[in-house]
Order: sequence, then structure tokens, then C-alpha cells
Amino acid sequence: MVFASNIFIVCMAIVLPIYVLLVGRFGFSGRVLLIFLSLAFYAYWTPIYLVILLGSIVANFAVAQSLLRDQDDRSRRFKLWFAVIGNLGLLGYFKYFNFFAANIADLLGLDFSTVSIALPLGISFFTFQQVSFIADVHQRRLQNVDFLDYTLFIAFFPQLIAGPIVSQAELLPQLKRKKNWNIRADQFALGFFLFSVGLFKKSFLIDPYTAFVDVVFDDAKHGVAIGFIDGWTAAIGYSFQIYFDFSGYSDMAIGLALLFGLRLPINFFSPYKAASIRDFWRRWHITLSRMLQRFLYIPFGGSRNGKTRTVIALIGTMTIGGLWHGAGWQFVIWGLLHGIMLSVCHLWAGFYRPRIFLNQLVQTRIWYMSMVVVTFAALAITWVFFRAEDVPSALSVVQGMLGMNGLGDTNYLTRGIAPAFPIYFFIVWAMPNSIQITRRFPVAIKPDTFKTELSLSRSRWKLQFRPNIVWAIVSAATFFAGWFSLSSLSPFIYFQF
Amino acid sequence: MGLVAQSRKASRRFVRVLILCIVSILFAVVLLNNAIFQLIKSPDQIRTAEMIPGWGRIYKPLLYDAAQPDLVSFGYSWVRDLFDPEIAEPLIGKTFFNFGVSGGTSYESYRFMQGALAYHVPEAAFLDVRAFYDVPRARLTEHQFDDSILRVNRDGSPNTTVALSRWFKMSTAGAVLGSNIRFLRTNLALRAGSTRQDVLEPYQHRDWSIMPDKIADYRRQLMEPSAESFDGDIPTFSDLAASVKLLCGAGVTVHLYDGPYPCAEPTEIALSRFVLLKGLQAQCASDMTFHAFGYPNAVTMEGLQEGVGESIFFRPDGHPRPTIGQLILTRILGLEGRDLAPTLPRDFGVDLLAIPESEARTWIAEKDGRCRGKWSGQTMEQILAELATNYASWADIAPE
Repeated sequence: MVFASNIFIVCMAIVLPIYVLLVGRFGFSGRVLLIFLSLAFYAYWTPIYLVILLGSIVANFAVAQSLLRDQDDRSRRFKLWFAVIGNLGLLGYFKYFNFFAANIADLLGLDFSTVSIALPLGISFFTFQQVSFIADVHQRRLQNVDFLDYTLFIAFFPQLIAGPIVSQAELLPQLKRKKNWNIRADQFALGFFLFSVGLFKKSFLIDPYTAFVDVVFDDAKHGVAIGFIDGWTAAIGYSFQIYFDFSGYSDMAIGLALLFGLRLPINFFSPYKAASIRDFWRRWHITLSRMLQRFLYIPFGGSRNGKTRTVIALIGTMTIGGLWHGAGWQFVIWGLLHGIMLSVCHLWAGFYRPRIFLNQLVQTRIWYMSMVVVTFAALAITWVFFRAEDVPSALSVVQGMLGMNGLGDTNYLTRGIAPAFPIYFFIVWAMPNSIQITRRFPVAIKPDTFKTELSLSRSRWKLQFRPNIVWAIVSAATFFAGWFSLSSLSPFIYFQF
Repeated sequence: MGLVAQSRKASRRFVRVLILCIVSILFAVVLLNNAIFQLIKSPDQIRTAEMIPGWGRIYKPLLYDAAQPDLVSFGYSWVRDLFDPEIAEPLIGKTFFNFGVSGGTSYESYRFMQGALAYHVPEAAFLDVRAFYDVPRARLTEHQFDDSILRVNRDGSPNTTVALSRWFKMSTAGAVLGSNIRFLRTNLALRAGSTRQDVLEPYQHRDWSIMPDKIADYRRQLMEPSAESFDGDIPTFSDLAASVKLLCGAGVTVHLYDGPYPCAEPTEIALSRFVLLKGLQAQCASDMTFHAFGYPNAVTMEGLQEGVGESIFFRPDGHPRPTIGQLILTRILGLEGRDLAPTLPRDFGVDLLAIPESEARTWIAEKDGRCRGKWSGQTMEQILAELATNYASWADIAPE
């Protein structure tokens, strides 16, 4: 069930009062009800995949219990690798079997026909979450865990399908501490507001215009030469599409979790305000970034083993990160490009910091603003690889962006998605994000790195959520603008990963 | 986690106001949308609603069922703007429904046909062949399309929840709310004495006088001999074929036409399409015609007249106006000489499926040749002279 859909909204409108009644009046267990709701939510797509989800939960819980009891380091290490390989094997089979088999067959000159394997929704997310959990258990970061808590930690529907990728330290203590499972007015107010903002971002701001992006990428796939205008329109349009879509989803997820009194970690913090790719990854898909850092970048050597090692670690991490997003060479190239850009940022930082003039220049406002534009342009180019069906299609769009096929049809500057660009730029560059708007309240788990920006937003922005009548009307208006804009079912982009 | 006690009190008030807002807005919107839909459903209003852009994808399947027309047209906005039922019905003497929607794709039109045929089979359908290209730009732009409001699913099985989906969509979709308000405005203006020409977008006029460069380029193209060079792919027209087969299978007469968009496609494509349609005609149990209007003729050369200003044939964005629709219907259905039927230009389309294949091929090649400065049959000057003679009469054919 997609959050931004009539069926989900209607279901929530029915389920929430029932939940309040059962938990508040009849003393039902909120924990059990939420597990039931989450599993029903997952089963709505393809009921059979519920078996995979539940099987994966039970298996990982069993390994975790075994690890918790086991004192022998060797045996513990074996169990850790057993669980990691098991989880990645499951992900590998469903997500990468065809990709690797086709490429190996290609290398060996063998015939290979693609096997039809439907990807269980959210498998990349719940796999990562469980691997991270097992690693925490192995490192003795938790002493015990209850099965119901663990099931809810993995299956909790707001974060099950497309993140945020929650660590056990963020959710399990909340579940353990939680005594009152009823819905509270203050949490409902904030949760509803965030859900509405997310819905608005997706169905009002971007969905009506995404067809104009799809058209160009589809043209590229069919060998049509892409003009300069079409190329940039598609690249910039997709940059906004993926942002509003995914950050909208994250807002909705955080809002939904908050309705039930649980806080999820933030996943976005104005990523297009980033003045470098490094800064971008601090703000974009934050929970994935920290996973990549923990499980790839640091094991690869991190930043403390010399420049060469750092560059290798960055490129290696991001290339694998690219592959995590999808089984295709275009994702590998996307990751590789990000790895290269991160390496350049790293080397540049090492170059300018000791030089006083450069150091001062970098801190000027004009430099910051220029770098925000440059970073956005670089991201827009890389998003082409992320969006394209395959590498030749991506290269075709990039060719167009380089002007190799002429200017193209200027009509598309005044029609379709392009006229909305100034509004989008204003939103992503000049507006506070949803976390800044709700800054006064503990709506989500916020990393300390954004403390300064959150406190700055107090003086810079009057746009601060307050539980008053004006904001109640704003919330309702935002919700209806989003809801009434719902068109055909447009799944969130990140559901496919 | 929790807010301070004072804030909790405020939060409770917030939730009360929020719920009140949600319930009131929802009630008002649902009530408004349903009330206006009841108004639109009356036969007189359907004809106006069909010509208002914005809600076609949601309303047209519902309105088709209410109208149960004799004739129907499918396609994109060029089709919507071309056929005004207010003109078509008295001209033909049958009920007409325009299923054209903004950016309508071949997929959408096919699905609309599927849904429509499951409820009421019309006598004939009009299809603009260029609305059925299986090229990406035609296929993908599915603005606000929702299969759930159609009577059959994609695989042809009955949609058992259609009534609920339609009510839900019609009651809550934002496009409906906005368009309903636009409909009310139009309706009020018409009641206050405005004409359809004044208030309906398809009747807006292009101003040729502000586009001298485009006209000069077009004139040059028609006058200066050049060679055709085409190295692109020829579409398979599989979407067009699927739609034609669907209609033929239901016993609907299929009137295909190539709209008034001259010099927009290479001869190879036009010929390939003709060959496909010829083949389909042989398989079609019902009647099938194919008229081509997309070449330099009196209508499409309107802008080349000396001192021409406001167009009687085209909208500012290049879409055809219902005046062309009137000419096209007259030609396709052979209505010349009837009351309300306009005088047709001498050279204005021909049923390519009704003449021998070799003759049809020659006709296509000759008409396309005009786009490269090669004229046969009528000359450019003769067409422009005829245009000057009949122009005033064509200016009057749209209803007041």
C-alpha cells in the first residue's frame, strides 16, 4: 500500500479510531496491534512475500539470540558471517541474480535468459536493518531483545518499505520504554502535519509533472536524439522528482511513526543546500549514508590511512552503494561518479585548508552560493545515470546536455515541468525543511551535526510549527492539497530498491 | 518524548480544529463535486463539459455512459478541440461524444474504448491516427489517468469496483474540483448570454499576424524544391492497430483520419501507416474509412493568405478549432449539400481506403511532395485563391 494513495488514507482514517478504541478503551496491546497492522500493510502488495519477511525476521532473531548467549568469539564470528551471508544471499538472489548471471554469461559467451524473479518490496531496507542489528549484537551493543519488539523494529510499517534505515539503538529502547501506546494529541498534531507535508511534496508538487521527465528518458531509451533543452529539463526535473518523492516519503514515514508515538531518525536535511558532494551525502538519505560509512567506508580504510586509501575507500563505498540501489551498470556508474566526486572534495579540502587565501575565499557567501549551484549541476548530471534505463540511454541524455544534438524544442521551456523549476529552486534553496519547521518539537531523531542549522532557523525563519488554530488550518489545507492531487497510483521511487 | 503540559492542551485544541477542518472541507468538496456533476450529467451540459479541458480523464468515462452516444471520437486534445458536439449533432443528426483528453495517449484511448464498449457500443468511432503512435512521447504522458474508473480492467475482465472508484474519484480528485469551478463559470457565462465562441477554449483564435517568421518558413518550404531525407525508425503502429481491431471486433464503424498537421511526418511513415490500415480494413468486419487531411491544403495554408490576422481554423497553440472539425465530419460522412454542412474546399482529404491502393500511394506521395515544393493537381496559387473565395463562409460555420 502506497502512503500517497486513496486506499492508504482511507484505511488510516478507519484504522486510527479503531486503534484508539482498542488500545485506549479495551486495553489491547498497541505493540501487537502495530505488528498486525504492519504485516497487513506489507501483505497488501504480494501476500506471499510476507513469508520471506517473517522468515527473515525469525531467522535473524534466532541468530541474535544465539549470539547473545554465546561467549566464544570464534563461534560468534562464525554466526555473524553466517547471518550476514544469509541476509545478503537473500538480497542477492532476489535483486542481483539476473544482473550477475547475465554479465557472467556475457563474459563467458554463454546464452542466458533472464529468470523472472519479482523483488520483494523493501528487501534492501529490511536486509540492511537486520545486518546492522546482527552486527550490533555481535559487538555486544545490546544485552537482550524481546521477539515482539524485534518484529516491530523490523516490520514497523512507516519505515518498512523505503526506510529510514533505523538502527536498533534508535527504536528498540523506545519500544522497551513505551508504556502508553495510545495516540496522544500532541504527537498526532505533529505526525499529521509531517504526513501532510510529505503528501503535499509528492502528489501536489512533483507527481503531476514527472511524465515530462519520463518522456525524455524514454525517448533516450528508444534511440531518439536528446536536445540540450530536453536533456537539462529531464536532468533537473528528475533531481527535483527524486528529492520531493523520497523526502516526501520520509516526512510521511516520520509523521506516521509519530502518530503512534515513535520517533524515527531524519533521512533528509535540505540536501540541495549542500555546497559540496561531501556535504550532500551528510544531508541526503542520511540513514543509508551512515550504514555505508559503518559497513563499507570504515572497513575499507576510512580517512585515517592516507590519501590513496581514502580515495579507494570512497570510490569503493560509493560504487557498492550505487549497486545497492539497483542491479544495473548505470547504478554502478552513478555510485562511481559520486565516489570520484567525493574523492575530489576530499583532496580539495586537503589542498585549500592550509592556504589562508583559499581558506578565506571558501568561507565567503559568494563562494558558498556558487558551490551550491555547481553541486546541484553535478548532482543533476549524476542523477541521469540513476534514472536512465541503461547506460546507453544515460549517455544519450548526457550528450544532449552537452549540446551535441542541438538546442532542441524550445516549447518545453514554457510547458511541462520546466516552468515549475523556479518554484522548486525556491523551495529547496530558500525554504526551511520540515525538520526546521517543527524544530521546537522532538518529532524525529536528529543528528547533532544539524544543531547549528536548527538553531539558526529560529532567528532566520518565522515559519515555525505551533499547535494552534492557524497551523491546524495549514495542516488541513496541506493535507487536502496533497490528497486531492492524488492521481494515478505513482509508487515512490525508492520502493524499487 | 512529549510537549509541555500547556502545549498538550494546545495540541488537543489543535486536533479538534484539525478534525473540524478536515470534516468540513471534505464535506464541502464532496457535496460541491457531486452537486455539479449532477448538473453536468444533463445532456445539454455534457456537450459543454466535453469541451472544457482539465477533467477529461475522470469525467469522460462517466459522461460517456450517461450520454450513450451514436458517434464517438477518441484521442488527445487536438481531438477534443476539433469536434464540438454542439456542431456535430445537428450537422449529422446523431448524438456525438468527444472522448478527447489533454495529452491523451494511445494507451489511454485504448482503455477508454475498452471501458466504453463494455457499457454501450456506438455506431461509429472517429480516431485521429496521429494520436495512436507507439512512440514514447505519445505513450507515456498519462496525466492523472486512473484505470480504476473504467468498466474493464487492463486484461479485459470486468472491474467490479468501478462504481465506488468513480464516486471516490469524482468526489475528491483535485482536478475535478478545479474543473468543476471552471465549468460553473462557463455555465454561468453561457446562461448570461455569452456564446460558446466567447467562453470555450477550443474556440480561441490564433493570430497569424504575430508569426511572420513561421509563415515565411512554411511558405519557403512549400515553394522551394528540396529532397526528402528520412533516416529515422518507422513506428510499428501497434497501438493504432490494437484500437482499430478492438472497435472492429465490437462491430463499430471506424472512421480514421489524419488531422490537419501538414509536413510533420515523412512520406515513408504515411505510406507505412496506409499499408497497415489497408490490411486492417481487409480484416475488419465493420466499415472502415481513412481520410488524410494532414498536407498543404486550403485549411492548413490559411496563414499564407495576404494580410490574414485572426485564424478561423486554429487556436493560438496550433490546435485545430471546431470549424475544421465541421469540415472533416462533412467530408468523412459525405454530408455536403445538407443543411448546416459547410462548403468544402476542392482539395480536402480523400478516403484512401476507398480508392485503389496504387492511386492512394500516388495521392499520399503527391500531397507530401507539396512539403518539398513539388506541386501537382492544384497549384499553391489556386488553393490560396479558393481560400480567399470561401474564407468568409467558413468564418461563419461555428455556432454562436
